[in-house]
Amino acid sequence: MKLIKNIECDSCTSKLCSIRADVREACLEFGFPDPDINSIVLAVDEACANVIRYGYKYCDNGSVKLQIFAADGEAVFHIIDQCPEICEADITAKPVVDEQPGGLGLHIIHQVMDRVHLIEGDASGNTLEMRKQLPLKEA
Amino acid sequence: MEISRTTFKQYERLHLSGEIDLHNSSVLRETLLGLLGGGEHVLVDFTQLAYIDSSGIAALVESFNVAKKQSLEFKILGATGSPLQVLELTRLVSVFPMVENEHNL
Repeated sequence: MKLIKNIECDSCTSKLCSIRADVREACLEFGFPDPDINSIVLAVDEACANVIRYGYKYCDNGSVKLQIFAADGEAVFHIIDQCPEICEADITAKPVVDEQPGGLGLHIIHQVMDRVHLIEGDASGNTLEMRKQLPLKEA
Repeated sequence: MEISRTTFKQYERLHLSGEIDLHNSSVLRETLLGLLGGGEHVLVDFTQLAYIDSSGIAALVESFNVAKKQSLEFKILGATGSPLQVLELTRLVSVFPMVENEHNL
């Protein structure tokens, strides 16, 4: 995989804006059309916000690392935290019930991305991997 | 994010601009619930809104439910671009009363 961006920031909600700007920039480099860029930026933002909200419980001295790769026709997003370990069930989209405010973030992530899963590693914390097929290049 | 208020017809019109995310969505929630607590009909103006995440949408959903319980009107005006996409992704575009422009009110 070719590393496109490697960003690390504090687990502070004020950092989400700059994370979105970096994701948007990477998506432009990948050649995604505008509507896809909007939705990918949203999905990555939701994933980072979930780490800050549920993983670090709004404690702003944690670390959120975002790595963006190009690999085999896909854009790959790794979100790495140092939070207590989570499992696949924690990142499974629950059905969205109309007029209920909960669970929207995970629903959006799964709607936008082609594949969402956790990567097992030796290090502490969690690595969430999200993959999105790159746009086909015109001949 | 910036929020300003004007009155339009029977509504308190909330003009949203900039970006709403986990960092500032609580301000939107408090503002909306405050208006509804005062018995106001609410028009949420998305015309200048560049971005909203699920925490902002959750604030809208909660407020919409409060409005319904109090028989108050709650409408979203002028959603386009990324904010409209979020409402579509969450299927809430068919839940909220949506208005394209103020002439349709």
